[in-house]
Amino acid sequence: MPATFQQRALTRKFIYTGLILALFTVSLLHRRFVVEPQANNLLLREVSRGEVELTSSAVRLLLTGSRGLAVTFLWDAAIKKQEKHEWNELELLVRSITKLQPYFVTPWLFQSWNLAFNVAVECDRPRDKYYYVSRGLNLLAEGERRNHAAAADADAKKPRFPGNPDMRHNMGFFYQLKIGVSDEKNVMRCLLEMSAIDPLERDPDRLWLRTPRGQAVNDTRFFELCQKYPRLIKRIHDKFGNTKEKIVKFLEDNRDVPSRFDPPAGGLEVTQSPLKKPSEQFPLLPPRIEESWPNPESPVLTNECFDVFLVARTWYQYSQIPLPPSTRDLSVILVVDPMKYRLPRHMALVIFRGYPARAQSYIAENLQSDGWFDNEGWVIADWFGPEEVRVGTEAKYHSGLAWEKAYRMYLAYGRANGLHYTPAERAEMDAKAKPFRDKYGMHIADRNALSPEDRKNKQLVEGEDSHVKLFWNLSYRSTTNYDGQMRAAEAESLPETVYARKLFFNAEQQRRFEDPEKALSLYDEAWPVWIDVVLSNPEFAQITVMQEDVYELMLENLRLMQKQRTLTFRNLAMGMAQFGNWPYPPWDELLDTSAKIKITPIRTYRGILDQIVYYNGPEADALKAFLLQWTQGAAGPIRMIYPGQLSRTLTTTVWLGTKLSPSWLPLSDPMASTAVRDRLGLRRPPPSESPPSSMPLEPLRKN
Amino acid sequence: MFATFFLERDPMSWADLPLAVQNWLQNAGGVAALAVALWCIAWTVQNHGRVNPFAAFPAFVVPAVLAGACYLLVVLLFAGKLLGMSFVDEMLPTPLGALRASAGDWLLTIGGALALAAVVWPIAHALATRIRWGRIWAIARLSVKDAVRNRIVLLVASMAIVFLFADWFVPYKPEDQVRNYVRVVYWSMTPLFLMTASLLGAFSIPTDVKSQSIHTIVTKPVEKFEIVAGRFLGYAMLLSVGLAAVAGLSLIYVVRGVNPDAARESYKARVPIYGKLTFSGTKSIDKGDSVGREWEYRTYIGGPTHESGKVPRQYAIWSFADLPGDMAREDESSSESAKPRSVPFEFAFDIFRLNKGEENKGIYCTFVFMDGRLSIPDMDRVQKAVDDERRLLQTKASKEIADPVERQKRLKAVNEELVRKYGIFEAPGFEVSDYHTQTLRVPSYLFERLAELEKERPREGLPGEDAPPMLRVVVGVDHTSPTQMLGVARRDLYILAAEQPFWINFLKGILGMWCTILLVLGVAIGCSTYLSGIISWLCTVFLFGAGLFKDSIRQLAEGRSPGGGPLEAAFRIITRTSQGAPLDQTPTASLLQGGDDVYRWWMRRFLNLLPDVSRHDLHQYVANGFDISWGQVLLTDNLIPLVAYLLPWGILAFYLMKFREIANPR
Repeated sequence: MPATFQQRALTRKFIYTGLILALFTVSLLHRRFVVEPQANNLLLREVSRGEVELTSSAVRLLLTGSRGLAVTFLWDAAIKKQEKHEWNELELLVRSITKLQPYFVTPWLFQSWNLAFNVAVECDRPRDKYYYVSRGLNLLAEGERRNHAAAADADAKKPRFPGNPDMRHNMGFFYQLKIGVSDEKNVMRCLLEMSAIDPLERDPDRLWLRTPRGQAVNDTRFFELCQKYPRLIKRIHDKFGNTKEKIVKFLEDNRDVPSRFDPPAGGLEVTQSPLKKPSEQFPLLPPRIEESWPNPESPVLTNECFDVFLVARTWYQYSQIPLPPSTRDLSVILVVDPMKYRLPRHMALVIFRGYPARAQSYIAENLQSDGWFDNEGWVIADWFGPEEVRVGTEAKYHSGLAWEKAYRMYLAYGRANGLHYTPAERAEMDAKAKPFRDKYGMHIADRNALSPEDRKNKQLVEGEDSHVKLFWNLSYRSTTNYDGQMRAAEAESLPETVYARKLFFNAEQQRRFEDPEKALSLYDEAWPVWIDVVLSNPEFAQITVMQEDVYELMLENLRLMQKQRTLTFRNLAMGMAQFGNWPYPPWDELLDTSAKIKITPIRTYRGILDQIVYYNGPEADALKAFLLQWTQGAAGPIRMIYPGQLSRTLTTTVWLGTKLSPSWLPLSDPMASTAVRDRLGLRRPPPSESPPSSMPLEPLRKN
Repeated sequence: MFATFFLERDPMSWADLPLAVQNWLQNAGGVAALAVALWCIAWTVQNHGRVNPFAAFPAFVVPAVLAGACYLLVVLLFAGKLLGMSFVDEMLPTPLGALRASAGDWLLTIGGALALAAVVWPIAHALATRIRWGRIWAIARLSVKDAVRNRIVLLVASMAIVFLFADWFVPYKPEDQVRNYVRVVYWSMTPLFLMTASLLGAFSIPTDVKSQSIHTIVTKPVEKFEIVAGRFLGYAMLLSVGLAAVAGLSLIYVVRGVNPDAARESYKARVPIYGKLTFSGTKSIDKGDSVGREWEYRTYIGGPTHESGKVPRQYAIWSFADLPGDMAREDESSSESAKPRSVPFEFAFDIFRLNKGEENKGIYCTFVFMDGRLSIPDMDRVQKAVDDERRLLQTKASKEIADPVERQKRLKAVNEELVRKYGIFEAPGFEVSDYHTQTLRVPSYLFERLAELEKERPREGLPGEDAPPMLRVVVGVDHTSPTQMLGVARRDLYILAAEQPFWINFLKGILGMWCTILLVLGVAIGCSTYLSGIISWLCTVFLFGAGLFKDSIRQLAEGRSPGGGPLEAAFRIITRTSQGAPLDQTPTASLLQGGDDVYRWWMRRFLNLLPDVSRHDLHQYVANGFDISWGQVLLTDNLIPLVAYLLPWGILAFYLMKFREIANPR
């Protein structure tokens, strides 16, 4: 019997339903086994890119095609809010913009910079600045998380999104610029350190004690704080207040800084605040990939001495991970698989790789500038009773060790990237390059390619290869200032350098705040040590920045000496003036008291660094050793060579303006000296064409 | 971050009202006159002089003819100018904001008023004779039921999402907590209610027409305008109830767990008394120096430089014409048992540094509060006399009194004595931080002395000048902060007359939002009397959107936009001429600039159609903790302009609905 209409309709419905189910199943399987693996392999899924945020995805889907319009509107509104200084609204808008385009790196970079620099600079109070710096960093860190592979997917076999080196680098760079070296760096660094400390430990309510006479500092708790965070307390002491009360007041004024910890729940019996999630903490740190990195998941962040450059260094180290492996051959043009590696967009790769070591040398510099050198620590004289208390003696506060680490890092960086060759390696490469250079009459700084005929000559080919490597080695060493940085790190790590630096620091402290006479004696003690250091390390001695710093110290020393020994200098100057003219004018009678007072301070003065010159010609070390042995041996009975005698060989003093032969160098380059004198306003302005007339005793008055 | 509270335009006051009414009559009356003229032409063409209009519509024709006469006179004035009659120059209409109205202005105002009277007369007549409030009320109730049935009001329930999750996405500095919460709530509520209002208003009447349900109403003895008014009233009631409910919940959301910093900054409603700001030592008395910021709301005074002595010292001076009595209150922050009475002055300035200064320190300023009759040279002279006398008295007190407590009391008394004698109080070396509200308490005896002085010698101005102010507050940067600059604006310093509760202010702010909602609803319903639903909605969105950018459009219409009008700007782009460079006066440039003038004339007309939306946005007051005054802000600057804007729309809606072919009995 033929099927009825209803039966046919039913059959048709069954068929259609079956087809739908089959197609649906096939599409599911296709998606599961074909599309998804492909998407995973090509890193197209949101989860492959980094952290996924539901709201951001939902909003983007809701906006459908009008995302560009919305972003443009928000961007324009953000500019207007910024013009009108409505920072809190600006931040809301900026966050909306980045939520709408989380995989476009530029807005993250631009707006985080905007918050951390342009907005922060508009605020006057350092803690307000600090807040907006933290917001900028927070935004950039969020962007970084959205654009790096999630830690959960860290399966070695799976392709991983390599992460964005620029964002990671900028995290470190923002810390460096806005907290490490800004105008308010002392406050900013204190605030950063406070951010890393449990708020309970620095809670001013616990540090104050109510007494019948009012408020006083709780010595027990304050001592604990000094012991645990001596560097913070010393910095506040040195820069913002030298009493316990002022220090606690500083902590009180800034108690609400962004922190690693949540506010503690509970009363006074609570001893530790709960730790925030790593992504919500400040200072923000990358996930701990190496043991030596700070651990954001632990209340004790690091075993090293906490410093803004430690945070910066960790970010710089983290920014190296997406880079391709290092190569010693700098002539190679890198072809990078973007599925595996990423390159920095705006910086030469070799410079980029040098940042972790640079940050480490900043750590060491900071320790020195804060007055941390060796196991002497910080001596607190009269805060906790009659006896002196010594804190911060641990190895993590030793600047020499920090410099040593910087030196090791520079060495590793140089070795890995073809910037550093041992003398033997260099000699071997020079020997190989010689036939090639001779053939084409080239110097190490010249470039030329082998002719097709010469390319058949294996020796010349090897020679060209060695020459090219040495050429790029020279070029990049200059670009990165590698030699200067590494030699500085090496020399600063020496115990005698640390000692000299300590003497200088103490002398400066005494000069500024306490005892000028003691400062003079400390300077006197420091100079011979320092001279030995620079003469023993001639490459270090030629670093301009170091020369300027030390030259400035010398000028301070001389100025202080004039101040403390005014009478001696005045008499000396008058005597010199008397001897300098004939017939001898009776200056003592000619000058009244006020004119005599003006003789000192003498503005144009020179010191030891202007006078000493040393030989730095070819084979200088060998020549010095030979001369020393020869002179000692020729002097009759065998004599001991005292420390530093070798380095002082072929060293002499000259008058200012003496023309030196090319192999002789001054301890302080005249360019560096002039720069310092200009900076301090010590150079005389060029004489005007029509000097004022009737100015008796003008030369003396100028001095 | 108090410095975010700024008002680039002062709210309209009662004193501004006559000028605003005049302007409104000219604009609304101009449109009415145009409509009347068109109607007259159409009527004349249709009737071919068969009916005597004076007999048929006397109440319409008389004002219309008089309005026509006024406009004709204005035309004659312009014609006289073209013919070179110089005496008409003073009679021509003046641009907006001119100090004195000319004869031309009066003619335009009277003409506009008469034209409006002509078009309003039939409405007034209908209101008096045919329109019944009972029927409007019935339609309003029906509208509410319709809206509730359509569940469109459930849109407002989406506010729950904001309450639940906003905290996750609203980062804030502790002191900005209330500020950010208020902004989030306002930003969420405003679009939500505006969307609801525009949808309800735009689609209601067109839907009735489309579904032909309107016929069941208009065939009853119901005036068509009653439908419009009923719809407006019904939806307004519905939205008001919804707004009240959501505002209540929002208030709870905002006020829970306010941190102390935020409470200090903005969890209050300050009642400020503002002075008038002038400058001394700067190039202009009205402005300080520019530091190159794009936004010129604040101008700057500098600290002393190495050239001090050669150039006059710069001061910002706030003048308070009159001071209300009994502003003084007890200083709660004082540690003394008998709290001294003082008048709080609050301020927040911007700091612009020319050098790094001292780390972790603000800049130091001196505040001088003095009798308004004293000038800056007087101030210097009096200050010197005060210093000399103080030194003398203090030395004497120190010698005579051995007990330190008694000596301290005496020194205080010396200060009070000197303030009472000279009528000047100085607060030197006050550390100012930017973006934070700071308070300076001025002892009440200064104000007592000022009141005494006023009784002894009432203030009198020179002939033709205003009387000097009662109090002057002079602010200058100290010698301890050399070369630093202080940015000030009029509202940056004020007397804190009182503090009101935050919640009342929050609800007052909601009233501003309510005005915006009514505005959108009115425009949407007005459009929907003639246009289809979707077109009405788009028109409303367009007008509202353009209203948001009214300042930019005004800049364009008034020729203040950089680079000129659209034609000139296009010319500059093509010829790569920078915005600032003047164009060579070639025939092409002149032609284009002439075209831009025509364009600007039309833009100025168009500008009058746009609602001033930003006027009703009062969240700045609430977020920053400033009281929204009932009189000046709510009534004169919100409700009156709202009525003034909606009235022409109501008139338009009346006529559009009247002439619409829906079961027309006549």
